[in-house]
Amino acid sequence: MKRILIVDDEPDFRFSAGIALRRAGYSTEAVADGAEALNLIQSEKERSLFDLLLVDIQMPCLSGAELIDELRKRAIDTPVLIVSGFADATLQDEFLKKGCTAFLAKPFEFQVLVRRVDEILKTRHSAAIPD
Amino acid sequence: MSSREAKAILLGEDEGNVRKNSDKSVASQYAPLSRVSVQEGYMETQGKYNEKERSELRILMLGNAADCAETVQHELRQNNIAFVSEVVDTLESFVKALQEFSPDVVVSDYLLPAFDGLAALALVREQTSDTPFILVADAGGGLAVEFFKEGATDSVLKSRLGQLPAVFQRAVSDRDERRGRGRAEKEQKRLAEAVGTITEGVAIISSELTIEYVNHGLCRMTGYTSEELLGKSIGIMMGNGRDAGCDTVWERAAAGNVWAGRFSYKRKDGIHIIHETTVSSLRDGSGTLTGYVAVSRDVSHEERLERQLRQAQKMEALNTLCGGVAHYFNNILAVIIGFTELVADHVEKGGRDEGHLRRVMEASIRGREMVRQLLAFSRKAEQKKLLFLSTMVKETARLLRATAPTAIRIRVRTAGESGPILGDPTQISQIFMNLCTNAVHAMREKGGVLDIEVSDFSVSPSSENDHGMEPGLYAKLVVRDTGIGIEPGIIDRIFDPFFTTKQVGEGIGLGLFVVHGIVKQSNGYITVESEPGRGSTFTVYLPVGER
Repeated sequence: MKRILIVDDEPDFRFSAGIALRRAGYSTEAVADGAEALNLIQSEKERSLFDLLLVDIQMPCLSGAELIDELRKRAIDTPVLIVSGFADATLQDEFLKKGCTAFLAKPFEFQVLVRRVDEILKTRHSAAIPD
Repeated sequence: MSSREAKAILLGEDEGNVRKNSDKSVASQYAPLSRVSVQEGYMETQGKYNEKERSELRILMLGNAADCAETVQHELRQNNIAFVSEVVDTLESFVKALQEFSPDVVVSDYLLPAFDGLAALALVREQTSDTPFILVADAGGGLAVEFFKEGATDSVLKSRLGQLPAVFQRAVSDRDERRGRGRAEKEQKRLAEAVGTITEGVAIISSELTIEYVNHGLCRMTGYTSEELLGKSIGIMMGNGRDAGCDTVWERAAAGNVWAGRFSYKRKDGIHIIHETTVSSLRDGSGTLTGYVAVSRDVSHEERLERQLRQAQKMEALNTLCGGVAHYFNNILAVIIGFTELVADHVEKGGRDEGHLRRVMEASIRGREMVRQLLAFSRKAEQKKLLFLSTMVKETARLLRATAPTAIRIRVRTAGESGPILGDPTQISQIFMNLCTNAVHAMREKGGVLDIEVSDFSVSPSSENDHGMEPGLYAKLVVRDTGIGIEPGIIDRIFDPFFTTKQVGEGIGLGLFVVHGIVKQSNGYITVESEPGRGSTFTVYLPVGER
């Protein structure tokens, strides 16, 4: 089962997105900011990596952008799907340049989110086959 | 100094014999007089050369007149006049003395051994136009007339040398007076030239408020010639008192205060300018008001920049607010939408609850649309780039063709574009999308033609235009539909926020408000023409490559 880490400071979003993704067959965990996410990812490193990070941009401790920089520094290349209330083309470009896999502007319907997550993980899976 | 040095410049009457006379008792600081001391004395005062500060009368005697030197000196001493004198008798030494000794008065005979008196006079007039030249004449000498014709100042009979001191003094004081007058005239001329040259407009206004004097700057500013302004009421400059508080200008100035303010003014050529004017009162010696002086400066450019700055600051505040609200609102909507979906998974399909939840969902989607429009405002200036409207319009048309009903024909015409505009791509496409969405909506029942045109448009400084457009180059966007049109009664309100003719769920009344806001933020203009049943035309002007 694919594991998804939800990184968002909004508890209601963490909670509801978690339900929606689990109903779609994923296993989820959730943290409230980038710092917690980084700790969890590092402690998990020995066991199994998350398959996808669902990351908000604006968070109190270690923002979305900072988290991505930290991950890249540590050579962790887990795919990142940015979910943000800032629906802005320039911002989107900026994050995609940073190496994020996709950008989804809040608010969205969960069926859209699930479809996007499916796409990313499928893409990654099929791309991984030749290796 | 040695006499040999003196000989070099001061040739006496007897060859090689320098005679230099000085009244030691009066002008003791120059005694013994030497070439050096004369020169130094002159040098010292050169910088602040002023007749009144020179206490000694400097007398240059020529040729035979030198015979009278003893008598002259005696007379001067008798009259307590301090003096320094020099005697020369060759042309060369005379020329030199004129320059170096710088005499206050030249005394000459008719005939000199080496050259004649008339030649000496001509030299004096040539070199120092106003140095008094006194002729020592023999009794009944008819030649004196000729000397006066050539500019001699006065003459004294050889037999009446006693008159010389009085003649000297009169000649010198006449000269000083002339010089003083000349200086005052020169100063006045300089002042008039300065006032004439400055770019500020200067007007002198009578106490009856008619214009008595205008400088070139004011003519340039108003577009009128000085002939057109002189004698006119100052209202020609200050809008005939239409400006609020105009009467108090004169009252305040008359009370002794300097009044300063700004006036909006229409030049002769129709160009509107803003001038900043200070008015102060003019009074005669007794303090009676004789008029006013007004100094004006064209501040149209500053005014424009200030207005733009104020507008930018206002927009900046609105941006921050919209951006912040939008972000929070999006997060809230995400929660509403999310949980609604989660509940919907468990309600009976086709049941009443599912319908209710769909309503919640639809309302949330409307909220999302509203936030999307608001976000168009909260864009930072850094996101601006140079954009070609024609390119963007084609892209918008492609999107529209994909979604609009087939009964609507979309035509794009791009006829020359002066240059790229500086704008935020998201904002600019928001303008296209909102205008075109409305146009499509207006034609959705009967179909029609949507024309999108991009062309260039230039506003020259002198051209009259209804929108008060700033001069410059613009990219012009026209969005024309053949739809239902806008009722005249509501056309003034279409740009107001939350004004809409659409049904609930079709629009929220922010589209044109946002278009208007973006256009204003970009220092552009928007106009609308519409005829009910025939269609509407929106025209947007965006400045080319500004800032």
